[in-house]
Amino acid sequence: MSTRPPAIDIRVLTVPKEGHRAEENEDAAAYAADTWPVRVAIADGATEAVFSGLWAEMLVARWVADDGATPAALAEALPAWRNAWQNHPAVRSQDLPWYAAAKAADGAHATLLGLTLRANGTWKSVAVGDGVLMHLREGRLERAWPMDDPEAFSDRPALLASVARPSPPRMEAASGDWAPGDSLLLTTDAVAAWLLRTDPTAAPAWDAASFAEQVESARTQGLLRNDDSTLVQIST
Amino acid sequence: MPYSAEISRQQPTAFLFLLDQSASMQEAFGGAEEKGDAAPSKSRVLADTVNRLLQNLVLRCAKEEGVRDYFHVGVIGYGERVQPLVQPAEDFDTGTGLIPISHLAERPKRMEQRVKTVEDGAGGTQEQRVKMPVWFDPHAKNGTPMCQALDLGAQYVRDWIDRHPGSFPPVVLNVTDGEATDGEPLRYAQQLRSFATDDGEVLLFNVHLSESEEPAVAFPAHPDELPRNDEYAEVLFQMSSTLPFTMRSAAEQEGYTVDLDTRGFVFNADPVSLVKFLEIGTRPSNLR
Repeated sequence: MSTRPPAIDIRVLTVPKEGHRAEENEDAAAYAADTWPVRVAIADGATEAVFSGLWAEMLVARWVADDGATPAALAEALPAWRNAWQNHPAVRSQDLPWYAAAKAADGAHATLLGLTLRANGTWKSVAVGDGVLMHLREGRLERAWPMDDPEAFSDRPALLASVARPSPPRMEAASGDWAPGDSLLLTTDAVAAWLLRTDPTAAPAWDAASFAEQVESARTQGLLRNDDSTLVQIST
Repeated sequence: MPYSAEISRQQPTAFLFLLDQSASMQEAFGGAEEKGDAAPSKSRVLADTVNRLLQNLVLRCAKEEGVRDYFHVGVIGYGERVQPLVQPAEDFDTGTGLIPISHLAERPKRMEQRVKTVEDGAGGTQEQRVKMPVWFDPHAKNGTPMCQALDLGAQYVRDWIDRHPGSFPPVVLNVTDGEATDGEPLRYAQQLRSFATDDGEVLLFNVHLSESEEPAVAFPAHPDELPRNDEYAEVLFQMSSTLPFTMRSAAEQEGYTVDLDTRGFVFNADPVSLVKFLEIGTRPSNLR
């Protein structure tokens, strides 16, 4: 294994739903790229629940810090993560109004997509829900995973709950190879459906300003559903 | 496609409840498990149902930082008087008789402690104490001025639509035991349903609470599905809007058989199917 630090550039671009403030954005992203393996994760907190943004932040932070790289490892790590959410001072507060307390008891929900890149040119990914990994090579889309059909996105993706559930959600895993010069994108559902419907090949070059412009224009044209929109660019 | 407008704080939708508070609502509710003297009154069932439904609407809009105003809500009681039962505070006044749901959320009449049984995630159950908000108590007096209530409701939705022309149209839920004592309600219902936003006409749904112990009828498509000898059921059925596409699919997901003629109407509903009906009627599938 190489001991050189990874020469991998990672940028997180995110725009909240139209009509929402930045602090209401319930997408989250985190990465650890100082040493191999490089780990990147995105999560999309469910609007219907409370403290979903907090849960999404905790999921990505813990995923890149702990070892949840396979479905089995993720299932094993989950109880401690849930515990941390349930014991968070904001969630436990006695001052919550009745409606927030009632919803907090039902837990928060989020999708999670994690990607691990190794120095030996392999990657592996784990997913719960409809965040999508896109692998671009030489200007074309090599692979989109776990979804590649823009029409297949629904209102009811698999979600990780912050409280224990009788049955665990569907966890998926994939792996592949990467080569220097490849781009990998992690996208939350609305961005994924939009890029799959149009063309993801320009996305690795966007910066924060051009991403915001592209999102606004695609929303106006009805190509992009009004949702929190996150794109993580990984340039190798 | 009509009935597809995105529901957001910039573009809220409205729920208006018309609640029968006439003397006949004191009679026993026929759809309850308990029969005879043990049966709850129709006015009790109405109050419980409306409290649960308002709670449900608030919870759909609740976030940790507060309640987002996706919905504006109005409640008109009709019995001894025809009057609004929720009042806007000055700083919340929308000028339409409807108030933002956050206002309602912050001001229940009282909170009651209930014990709820929930799954513990390990195959068992555990008891959880939950606070239930109460906005309304049972009330039953005098006649049934349903026509006046529909007329006042029409004023409310017309004013509201003037201010929200692009919104998902208001949903009006009339909860009654059936007999109007002040005229022919069908005409007033048709007038109410004729108001429209750019997204579609006002939806009027009727919930018929009856002392009859006949089985419940939910979402009928044709009058022959109604009990034959109840003239009020027929009128309330005729008054009810057909379910728009999104609500038909929600009803289907709940296991109901629906077609293009399926109406937002429940006859002789027991409390369970009543709440299911209302939840479908209020499911904001396009809530953002």
